[in-house]
Amino acid sequence: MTPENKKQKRILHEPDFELVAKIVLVLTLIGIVVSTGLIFSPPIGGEEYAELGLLTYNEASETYEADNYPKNTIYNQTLGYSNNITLYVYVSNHYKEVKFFEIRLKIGLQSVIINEDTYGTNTTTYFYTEHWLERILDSGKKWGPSEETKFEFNFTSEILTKLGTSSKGYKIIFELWEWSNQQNDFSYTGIHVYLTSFMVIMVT
Amino acid sequence: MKKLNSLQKKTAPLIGVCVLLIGIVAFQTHLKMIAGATQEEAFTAITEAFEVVEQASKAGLEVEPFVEKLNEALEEYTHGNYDTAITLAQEVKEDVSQLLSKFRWDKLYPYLIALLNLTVILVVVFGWGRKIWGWFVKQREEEYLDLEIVYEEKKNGEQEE
Repeated sequence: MTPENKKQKRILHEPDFELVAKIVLVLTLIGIVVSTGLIFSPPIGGEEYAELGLLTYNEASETYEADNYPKNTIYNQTLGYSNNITLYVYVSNHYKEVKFFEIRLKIGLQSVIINEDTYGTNTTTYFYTEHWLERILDSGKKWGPSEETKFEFNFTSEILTKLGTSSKGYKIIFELWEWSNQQNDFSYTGIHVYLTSFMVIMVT
Repeated sequence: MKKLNSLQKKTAPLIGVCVLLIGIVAFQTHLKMIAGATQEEAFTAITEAFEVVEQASKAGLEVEPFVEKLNEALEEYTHGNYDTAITLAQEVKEDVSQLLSKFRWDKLYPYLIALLNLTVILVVVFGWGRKIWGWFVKQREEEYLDLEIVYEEKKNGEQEE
């Protein structure tokens, strides 16, 4: 190939400045528009939920565990109350905002239905209102298990009078409620955990 | 001094006792009213403070210290220290409200950045763009000025290189 031909070929492959300038301008505009849009778009996040866990304390290993749950308690008919039952809970806030939670302890008959939509009412369950715990949790925070989230309670004659004695046992229910500004009251989150077929052994 | 007659002598202690009893009942009722109202007020103060903290949290502000303080208020409320609970809750509400009002000004920054971006686009397109484009055209014309187009006619039987 002669030098003249080489020169001509180079000229023919000279970039089209007009096209390059157009592409650069379009890309710049796209970049600026996208970055501006990103400023106003909400952050992309994962699933939002709360968590309620029920645990016991293992004194031997000094750890909290999801095991060795109490299955029964001895109720002294003469005294009118049972031995203490001790359980621990923990709550996690996986929402992107702060939440005001209330953990409600209730006792119902084994037959009582508790699920995501149905909670224990005053007629179907006994409310342990004096044991209910309230806590405001920031996003991503966990409360308990600790002495603060300890539930120590017992069966009393009042509970047995209200619910009646049952050969199939009782349900010890923990429900998670959260404060609703619209309702100006706590509302049921649908999150619950319970001990089932809990037996009360009667002694005199 | 005027002497009291026998009827006055008999009724005076009775009236005195009645007034005393009414006073005691009224005082107890008043106390109960105060206690009840304070408990309700304390919880209302906590929920109002929570509402503001929730707003701040939704806006993406750091609310951890306020949450801790509000939990202290909640603890005081649980222990029946309603006055302390109200004080703490009100402090939280005031602090977070101030933070929120300041944050509302901060929220203008994205709009300012958007405006700045738009200005940059306009400057690039209509200002520099035109100048640069003119420079490119001038450069190209200068480069192509000495070039001449040579047409090569293909002869029959000749092969291209």
